[in-house]
Amino acid sequence: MRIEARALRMAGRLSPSDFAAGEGELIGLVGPNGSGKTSFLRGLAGITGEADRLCIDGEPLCSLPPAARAHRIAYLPASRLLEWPIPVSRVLRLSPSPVEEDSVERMVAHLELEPLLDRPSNALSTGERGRVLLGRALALEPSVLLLDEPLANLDPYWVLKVTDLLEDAAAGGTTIIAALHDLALVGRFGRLLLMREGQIIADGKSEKVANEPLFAATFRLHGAAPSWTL
Amino acid sequence: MKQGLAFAALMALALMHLLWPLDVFARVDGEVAELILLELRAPRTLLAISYGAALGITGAALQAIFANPLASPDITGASSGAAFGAVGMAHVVGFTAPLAMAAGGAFGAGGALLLLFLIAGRGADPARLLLAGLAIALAAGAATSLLLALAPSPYAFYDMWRWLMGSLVERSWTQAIAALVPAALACLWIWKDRMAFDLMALGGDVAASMGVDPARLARRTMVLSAVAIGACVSVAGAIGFVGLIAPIAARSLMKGHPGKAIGLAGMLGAFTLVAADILVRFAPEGRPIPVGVITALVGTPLFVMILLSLRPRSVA
Repeated sequence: MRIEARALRMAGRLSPSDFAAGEGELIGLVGPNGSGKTSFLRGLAGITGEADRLCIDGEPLCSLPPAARAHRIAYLPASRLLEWPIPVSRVLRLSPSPVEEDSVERMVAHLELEPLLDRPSNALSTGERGRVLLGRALALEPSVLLLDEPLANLDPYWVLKVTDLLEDAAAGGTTIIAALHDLALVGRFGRLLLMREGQIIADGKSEKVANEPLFAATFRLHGAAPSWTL
Repeated sequence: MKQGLAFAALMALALMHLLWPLDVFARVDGEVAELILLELRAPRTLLAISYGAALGITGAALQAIFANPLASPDITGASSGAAFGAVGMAHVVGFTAPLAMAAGGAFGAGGALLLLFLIAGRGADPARLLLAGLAIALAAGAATSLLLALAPSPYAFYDMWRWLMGSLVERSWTQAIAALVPAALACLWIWKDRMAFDLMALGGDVAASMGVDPARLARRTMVLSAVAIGACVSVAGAIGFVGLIAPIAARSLMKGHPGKAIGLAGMLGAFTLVAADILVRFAPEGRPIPVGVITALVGTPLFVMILLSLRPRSVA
């Protein structure tokens, strides 16, 4: 298993949850506002919470030194806040261990960051900062990529482009778990986790989960994918 | 490279601080000259370097953990708190040994930082941080004045300007070392965390995903800053603006990295304080000017410029 969590929990936010994913899985994490998506991702990233077991490639996450950890797991927060005027070119390489130049160059090309490279990162728009932080996370070529709303604040062009990029990364072996709000995109994710009130209530192939009555009910919708009604 | 240049400039200026004015040595015989150099000048030079470096390093670290370019030992109220703690240790508790006063200073500075963090923590609006720091600094300054006014020694009150504006004159080796050793140890420890401060620039959660513990880093930084500032203030009083300006200059030379700038901020802070302490020697005979007056006079216009350059915080 690429990533394995047993009884991952956070008081008041996340009930004890078991989760495991293999190499190259592209997983969508959906649920209504406040259902615990961010808590689940932060727990998997080892930011907060407790777990009986939290392993990446069979090794406990907390036992990894920062230099190794940065290449095992990368996290994109929902708040794309960058506080200091560090140029974009430096943000892309900001890591406790050296980042492969080739992979930085690739991200600059894919995410069209060339015109931003010399700009201070705290002066960019939210969408631009999102692209820079996503580029940084992908450039580390981590085993597991945890993305909180990677498609928020992006133009339609970038929504499609980033989705392609995630599919490519997953095809290359990276396990990706992304919290999503736009249900129109769940079809692009092979596996779907459905959350409600701090619990994972459904987990399976995306076409199966999205068409269950439970899925629509969780979002207080009627009908089935992709034509829901109120 | 930049750090090497800064270090060379600092050493040259420190040598000037130590030797200048030279004509004193021509007027006295060798033994007295040696005494002046080793017992008067050398501790003062050492104190100026350590205090200035401590201001630069703690300023840079506090700015990094508060995610705010205005956080510094003076603006946060830490320096005023340290003066209050040191004065309280000397005049209320009654311990006047340099190390006891340094400890008092550390407690005072730590209390001020803790209070500020509770009122205006990481990422708070700069205005909130400024006003909270101002309130803490004013309260601590008034409390210091009160302690000095009520102190058993009738002369204590006249020490007030020294505590509130800072001065490096007539300090002994013991005092210089009481400031240097705690400040150096605390600053080295802060410097060791420089990578973590840079990772925090990506946001607390991203840093935490790479194994940094943001809460623990903030706590450690505040305690270490309190130790360094407390020790320096207990010997030389509260000196303003160096801890604000040096880190900002260092970051602009280090491409905005809050962590990588820490070492350079220390050198620029030491350079600034040594230069200011050379300037006060131009005062008329018998009219000593506290060095803090010079740093405040030079620092306030720069401070206003920084305020004007701050963009309204974008909300993401």
